[in-house]
Amino acid sequence: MAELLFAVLGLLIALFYVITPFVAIAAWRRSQRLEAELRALERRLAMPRFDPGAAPDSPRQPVTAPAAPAATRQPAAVIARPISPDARLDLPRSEPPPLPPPLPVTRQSPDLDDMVAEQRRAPRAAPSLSVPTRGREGVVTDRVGDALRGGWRTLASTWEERIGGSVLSKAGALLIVIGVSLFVGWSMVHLGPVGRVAISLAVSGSLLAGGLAMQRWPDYRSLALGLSAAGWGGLYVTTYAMHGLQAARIIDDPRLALGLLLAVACGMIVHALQLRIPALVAVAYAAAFAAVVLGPPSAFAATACVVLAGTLLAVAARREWSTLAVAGILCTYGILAVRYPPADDGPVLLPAMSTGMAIVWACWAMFEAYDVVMTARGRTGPARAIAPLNLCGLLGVSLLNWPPSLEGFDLFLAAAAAAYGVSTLCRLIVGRGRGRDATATANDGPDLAITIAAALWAAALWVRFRVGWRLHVGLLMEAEILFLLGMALGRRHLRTLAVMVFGVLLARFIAFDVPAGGEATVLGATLARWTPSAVAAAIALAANRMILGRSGGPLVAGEAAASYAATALVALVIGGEAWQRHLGLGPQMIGFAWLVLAWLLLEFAVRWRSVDAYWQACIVGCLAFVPLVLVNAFPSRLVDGTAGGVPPWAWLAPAAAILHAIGWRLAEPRRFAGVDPAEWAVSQVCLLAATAVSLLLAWHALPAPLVALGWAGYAVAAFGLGVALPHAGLRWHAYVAMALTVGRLFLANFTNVGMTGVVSHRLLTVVPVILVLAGLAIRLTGRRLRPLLAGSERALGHVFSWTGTVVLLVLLRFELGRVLAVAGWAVVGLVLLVLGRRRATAHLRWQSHAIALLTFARSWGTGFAVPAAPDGLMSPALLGGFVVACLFLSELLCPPDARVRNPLHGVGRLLAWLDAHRRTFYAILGTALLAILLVHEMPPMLLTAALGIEGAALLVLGFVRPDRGLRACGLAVLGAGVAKLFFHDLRHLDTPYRILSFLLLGILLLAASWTYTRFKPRLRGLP
Amino acid sequence: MTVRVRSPADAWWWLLLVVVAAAAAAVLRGELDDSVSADSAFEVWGDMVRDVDQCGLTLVRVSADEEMRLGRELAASGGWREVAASPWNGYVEAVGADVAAHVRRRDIEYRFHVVDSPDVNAFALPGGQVFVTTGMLGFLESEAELAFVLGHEIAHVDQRHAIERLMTRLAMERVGLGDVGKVADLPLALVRGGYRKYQELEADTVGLHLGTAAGYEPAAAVAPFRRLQARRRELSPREASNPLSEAAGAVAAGLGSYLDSHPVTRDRIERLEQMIAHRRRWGRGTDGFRGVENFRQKVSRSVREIPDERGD
Repeated sequence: MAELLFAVLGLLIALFYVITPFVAIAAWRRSQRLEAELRALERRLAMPRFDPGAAPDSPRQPVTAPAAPAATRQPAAVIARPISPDARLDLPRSEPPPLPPPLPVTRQSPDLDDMVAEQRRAPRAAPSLSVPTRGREGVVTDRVGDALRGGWRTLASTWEERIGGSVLSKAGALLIVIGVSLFVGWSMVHLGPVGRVAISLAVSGSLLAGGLAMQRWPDYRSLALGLSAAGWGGLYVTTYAMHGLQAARIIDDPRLALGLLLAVACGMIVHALQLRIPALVAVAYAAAFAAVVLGPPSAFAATACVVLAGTLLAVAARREWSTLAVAGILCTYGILAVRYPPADDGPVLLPAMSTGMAIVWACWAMFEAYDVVMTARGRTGPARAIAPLNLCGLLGVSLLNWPPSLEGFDLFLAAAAAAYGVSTLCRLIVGRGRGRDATATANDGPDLAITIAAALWAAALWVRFRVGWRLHVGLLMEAEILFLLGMALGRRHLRTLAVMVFGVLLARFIAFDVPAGGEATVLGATLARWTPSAVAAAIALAANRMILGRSGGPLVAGEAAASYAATALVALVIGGEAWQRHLGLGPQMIGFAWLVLAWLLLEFAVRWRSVDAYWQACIVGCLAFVPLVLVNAFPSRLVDGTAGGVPPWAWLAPAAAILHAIGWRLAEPRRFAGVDPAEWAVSQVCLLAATAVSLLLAWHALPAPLVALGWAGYAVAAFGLGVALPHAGLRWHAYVAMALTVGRLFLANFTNVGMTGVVSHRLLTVVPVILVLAGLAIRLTGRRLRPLLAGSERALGHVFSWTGTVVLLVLLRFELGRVLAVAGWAVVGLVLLVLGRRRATAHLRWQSHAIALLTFARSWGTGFAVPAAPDGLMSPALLGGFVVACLFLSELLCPPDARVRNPLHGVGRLLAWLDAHRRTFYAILGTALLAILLVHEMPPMLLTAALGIEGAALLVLGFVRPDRGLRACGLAVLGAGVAKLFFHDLRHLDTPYRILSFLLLGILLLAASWTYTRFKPRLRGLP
Repeated sequence: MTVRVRSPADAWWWLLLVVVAAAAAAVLRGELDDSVSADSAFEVWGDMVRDVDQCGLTLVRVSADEEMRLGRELAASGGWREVAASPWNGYVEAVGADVAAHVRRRDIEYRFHVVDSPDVNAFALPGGQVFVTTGMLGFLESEAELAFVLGHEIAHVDQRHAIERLMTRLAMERVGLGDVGKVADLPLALVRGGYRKYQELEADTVGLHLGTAAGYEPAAAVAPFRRLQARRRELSPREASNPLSEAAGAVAAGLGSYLDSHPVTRDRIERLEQMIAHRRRWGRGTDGFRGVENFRQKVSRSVREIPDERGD
């Protein structure tokens, strides 16, 4: 009973909902009509009237509108224009202007006429819109006021039309939808399913019927559209609720429910097609989708969603409303994502459709078909997003609802790949012969589909196998098939896809398989698990590159890198197998093996003029240096490079040989010329690397004292070849090696205490180095090689000359000891002075001067006192006498002093000055050193006499030579003796020695004075 | 690639390879020394510094009389507790006299003191004042060892190491810039400060020469150092695995050694052994006196040489 009551109540409410809009519509229609009539009348009244009483030349003030909004000015100006003076002059004065035909005024609106007449009759009291009137001008102002009022009305009617005709209808539809929703909600509580459905059907039917009825009148088209949309939406929701909602379920058979739903959808489609208004269709579909969302997730809801999407696509395809299709795909997949049907859903339409995946696939098929059709039509704008959205929807919904274990997902991906393959075929078939732009077809049509198919297939393989060779083989086959198809069909896009799949395969190797490690047995050999696949991929890549090279066509992006990838894979295999110590390899062989690979690539490049192979050789060669340095040259505890008793550095030997071979190979201009200018630089780098490796090898292989000899030997060989070939780079290698050799001497040779017989290893190892340094100095500064050498190399000759001398001095210091070394230094200085004079080499003479200074300083500091020297064997007197003799011998060998010819700067200037005055220089050094020796060795009581004798001897020698420097030195010593006599001997010496000193020194001074007096004239001509 | 010999004169260049190879072969036939250090570089540098230093010191040379006077003052003011009425006094005096007979500076009179101290130590002051602790005497095992210890300290005087440390201050005193009173505080500073590294090595060399010249067995010069090394447990340097680490290690060791005021015992042993081998190669020091029993009985060889104490 209560249900009946509520049903009746519901019906009343529904009727209210239905009738109210009709009443409102009728009122609104009448008001519209009245407004239209009013506008017509106002237009008619606004026509200019002929005024015969007006004087022709009477001044008339132009009527202008007072300050008013901009929107109201335009009508006023238009109305005032006919009474302007210009307009009046144009008219014939004898005839009145013709009146415009009166507007047809329907008699259906007498009240309006009465209103207008009443308005005209009514007295005007200070009209606000008219200017102050004067006599006949009141007519004009009246008309102006009318015109202005008409403008206001026109403006108001425009807004009213908009509000009443469009906004109100939409608002009404919205209110109805809300009301229906509220009523449905209320009916959920108070009515049974039948009542609810009945009320909903009544409301929806009424709305739809109203819409259809009003559709015939063009003026109510908007309202009709709103009512129709609401009606269809309500009808769809009601139909859906008849099975989908438990509270309103009156149909248990899903087939029947779906049939009804389809029927409603078909009706919607038909109606929408008739109306041809996308917004209305969109509203209706939004309501329908909302109904699905509001309901519980079920297979039925999903099926309804599919049906809805199908109808939407049909409408979109029919009307080419691509935006609607995009919105539909978003709604469909969105609903499927959040309202995915549970697997154990109740009664469903078809067992095959009971799973969510079937529904998803159905949606995908619909959208793909739509995209195929639209692509064939030449889709533009939002339609281009259909295919990507469809893919994302398919994958997204599937992934969201797939079990976490992803079991069977590989099959899904494979099926998707196959589906996209079919889509590709369809697109090819559909797009064939349509004469569309080829580029657009490639971009929008099959290329995208095959790209997706390839990606999905690769993903399926990845998910299926995850690790192992099957994945590699699968990806490799896919890439190869794509490549071959691309070559056969002439489709560059397929080749691009092949490149991408190869890239995935390589990335997989590097990122996953190589770090994962693992072993596999292949043909009885233990290999890394990924090695066979990598080798196969390398072969395939190399073969593809050869095929491309022979075809001669342009390459797609990435194909040029195929051979690089193949080489990288080979290098990776070699490195991996060696690192895991397979096939008898070991980490210590990685660098060497890569170097061999680089060599082979280089030979290939040379023979077949392959620039790619050339650069690959360079890259692999550089790569090889890393393990050569880290494992072989600088072995650490991290990498155990020792294998089979062979130390890791042993592999430096063949590596050095190969580097030399590569360097020479590239340095040969006749065999490999013109490929690239950088080859010469690469050759230099290879030779430099060869030198470095050779020196490192020598360090490892030779005992500590022999390393310097090994390096010096390498320098000799390098310099010899550098001169004979000629090759400047090699010569510089020799210079670097010699620099290292000299440094090495200070580490392991100067303090070496090894002996062979009675000869120290210091002598045996340092002397050859000195000979090499001297040889370099001679050859670099000599005339024979002058055309061959650059200025910097000739300058290096002097550097080596100085270096050799320094090494010799240091050798003498360690061989003879700190004090006794001065004897050797003095001899070296003497020899260098002689050599410098004979060869006219200033640097040798400068070295002699420097050594003389050094010898003097050391002798002064040590006083010739040799620690622990055997008694009598090396007394200070003997040592000092020898050194002083060498200095005076040097003095005797020197020519007279001269002026400095080429003034230099710094130390060079000092040495040049010393060279110019070397005779005096050596005389001073010898004299001073002899005096120091006397101070150290003579008894104090005889020192003054000894100094006097020294001075006298120098004077005599100075006269005999003749040499002013010696004479000056003699006089200086005599002066020092006299000073000592007065300042020291008078106080400290015993009387006999004091007397002796005075007498002897006095005699010597007298003799000197006599000599100067006797030979005074001759002295003036002496040097 | 064509190799062209530019002229016959270039052929001699390749003879250098033969020379290098021959030298390497000769080295390989001998007794190899694989040690690597940067000592040579630091030693050369030290030589230069020392030359400059010595040239300056010769300008303020102190006479032997003045040095001996100063030594006596320092010995008296040092506050060391000398052992009185002990057989060690005469024994050390006798052995020291034997060793000092071969010094270079004959005008220095040496005086030997035995100090009552458990420290294993010996030191010298300027003017020939040589001190040996009872701890050191207990540490030694033969008269030859005592002779080389005394020779080492005598060498510090003979090579002017002791007086050189005071010469700058004495020179300033001469011109009125020094504080004479401070000289009295010098003895302890001299003993505690020690000598420079090169001075220690030079004293080792001269001490070996003095002891050997006095007729003692050269190997005894090394024995005390070996016992000291065993007591201090000095470690050997780790072998380098590549050239860079070798060079870095050598420079670091050399720098540490250069900056260290005292030489490493291992280095001193090696140097002494080299010198002994060198001497024996030339037929010297092959029949030295050890004097273990003499040392035990505190009877010097000059008084009574106990037989069977010569040779290896």
